[in-house]
Amino acid sequence: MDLSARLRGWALARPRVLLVDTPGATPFRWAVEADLDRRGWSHARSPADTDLLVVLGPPGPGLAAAVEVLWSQVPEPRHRVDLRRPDDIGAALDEGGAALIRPAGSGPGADDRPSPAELLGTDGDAGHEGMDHGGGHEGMDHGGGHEGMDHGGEVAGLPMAMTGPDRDGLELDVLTVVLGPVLPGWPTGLVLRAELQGDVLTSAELCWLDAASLPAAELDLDPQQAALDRLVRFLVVAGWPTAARDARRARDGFSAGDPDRRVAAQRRAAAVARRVRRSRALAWTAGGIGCTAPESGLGGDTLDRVRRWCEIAVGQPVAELAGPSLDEVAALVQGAELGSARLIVAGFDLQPVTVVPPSESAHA
Amino acid sequence: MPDETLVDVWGLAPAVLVIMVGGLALGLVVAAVDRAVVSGEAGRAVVEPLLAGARGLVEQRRTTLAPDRLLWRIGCAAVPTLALLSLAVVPVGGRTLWSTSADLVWFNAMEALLWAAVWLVGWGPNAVHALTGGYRFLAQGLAYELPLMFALITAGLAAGSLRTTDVVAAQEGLWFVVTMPVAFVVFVAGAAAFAFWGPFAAPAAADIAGGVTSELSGVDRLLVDLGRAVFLGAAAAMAVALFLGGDAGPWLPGPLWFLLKTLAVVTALVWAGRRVPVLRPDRTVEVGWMVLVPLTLLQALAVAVLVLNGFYA
Repeated sequence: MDLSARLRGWALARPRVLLVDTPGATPFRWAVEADLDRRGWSHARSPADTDLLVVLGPPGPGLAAAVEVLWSQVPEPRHRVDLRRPDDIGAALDEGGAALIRPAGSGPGADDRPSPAELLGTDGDAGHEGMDHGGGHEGMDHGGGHEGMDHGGEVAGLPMAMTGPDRDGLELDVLTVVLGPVLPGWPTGLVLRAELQGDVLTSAELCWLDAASLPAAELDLDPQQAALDRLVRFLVVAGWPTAARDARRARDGFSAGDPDRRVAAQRRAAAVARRVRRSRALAWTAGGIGCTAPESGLGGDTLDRVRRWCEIAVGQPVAELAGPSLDEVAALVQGAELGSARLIVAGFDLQPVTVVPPSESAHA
Repeated sequence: MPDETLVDVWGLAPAVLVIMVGGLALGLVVAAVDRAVVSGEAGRAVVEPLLAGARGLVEQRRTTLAPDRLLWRIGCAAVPTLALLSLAVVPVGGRTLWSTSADLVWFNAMEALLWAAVWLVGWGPNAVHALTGGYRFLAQGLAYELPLMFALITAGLAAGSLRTTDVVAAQEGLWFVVTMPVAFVVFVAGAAAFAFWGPFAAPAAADIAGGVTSELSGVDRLLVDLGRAVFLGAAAAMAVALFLGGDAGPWLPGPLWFLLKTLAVVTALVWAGRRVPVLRPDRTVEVGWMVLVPLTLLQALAVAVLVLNGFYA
């Protein structure tokens, strides 16, 4: 028994953290991420991967419901930390880590989580999409094909996926999925409702959770730090962990009071910006997607926008572009494959609050 | 005249045990080097994968709505099993665990079966991100499989045998990497692709919340992550045997040379692989077919001409 407690303490010494930031809590999130970096705690990619769920600030009703679903999908041992204010981050995370190791609380027997079917039964508007249950809807689509023509019927109380014509003129299964509001490198609170054929989005619609009750204006952020933060998100989605790590450290270094650390952060920002701008592999894999018309003022394609951030990140005086409307982004991701769609979304500065850009120069 | 295998020398149980422990150690080395490069701190790099393993043991297993549980579990268990089986034909100290007279085919077969295993891991949980990861692995498989097979067979062609011990013996005068650099590079890149690691991690990438691994927790995640690390280690060891002269080297004992070379290949692979972002499978498949297939065929042709001229004799 002592042994299992020790194994537990050892295994969870560096928990994996799923961070849910509420809209408007951006500097708060940076402070928490900096603290996690100092501890060497890594970010979870899905509820199944999570030990510690950390919610920053009070979520709106829609996001709160989504967080409940996420929480219900996190395997034991798990612990949830609700951080309300940025002043006691260290202590709250210490406490969270300690609570995770404590063997008390609900064991597997005292599990009060709802069954997946129950969650789907209450299928309302917002709640239910974590990262996982998009899949819950999917039904056993391919299996259906073997039983002859009949595509109707139910599996586990869910309707089977129906077929529809795809872009190549074939009949393929159509899956209705919801992505967001919480995903790695994804603006928290953004929800993408889409129809998926294979891994191609055939229709897409974007909206913000709790759109009615969002804060009026974002705090004034340092443009260099904001650009680095957007780069971090993009690099996470692009699957480049070493560059994302460097960009995050540069961003956090700018918050430091110590001038030496700020100089180091500037150096680090320059290095990561150069690396991203010059990367041929990135240009090859992320190039040619999210192309916008020059007159739209959205700055060319995804790669152009990311390179622009690189310039802002090193402190060059580049005017920020206007944020696109959600409908414009939805039109861009339609017909894209899931990976491209994620890169396109990560290539925009999407915020739930409307930020008025400082005087905009016309040229893209 | 088949050589003695490890089983002949040590008996079945000890030989299998040694290969299993060796495989796990190799996986740990791969995970530690990877960890050190990704996190930038070398200090805890060896401990971290062990902690992750312990975490897999204490964590609850995940279930989803209407999973294909049997196939899901089979897929998870198959990944590390296939990785360890592929190690059975890697020659250390001039011996393999067992000899099939077609070792290269055996190695390739384990890696081909991995297609099924990873697909099942993606299919099993009945979830969209996992399924997308499965699709991506198959698309990526189409890109790397043929070049990888041509690279393997090129080494066999030069040695005139599919037995790995013969391939090592044939490199006594000159390491194969000198005459077949393309095959070597393609083989190592293919190894990263079938372990879906680094630039080829699209099936388990962050943009789909971890893809095939997105619904794994507890022992299932442990098995899949372990299998990927062991596969990468096994492939690095195989690359040493096929192209870098196996355990040949001056002064030091053979197995030590083999270990050092394997470590060098792992380190170089991780260092290079982590310098680039994930490459999307729909783009790698084009390079695989339009560039790598012709290149590896030309490589095989060049080696065949050398064989006819008695270069390797």
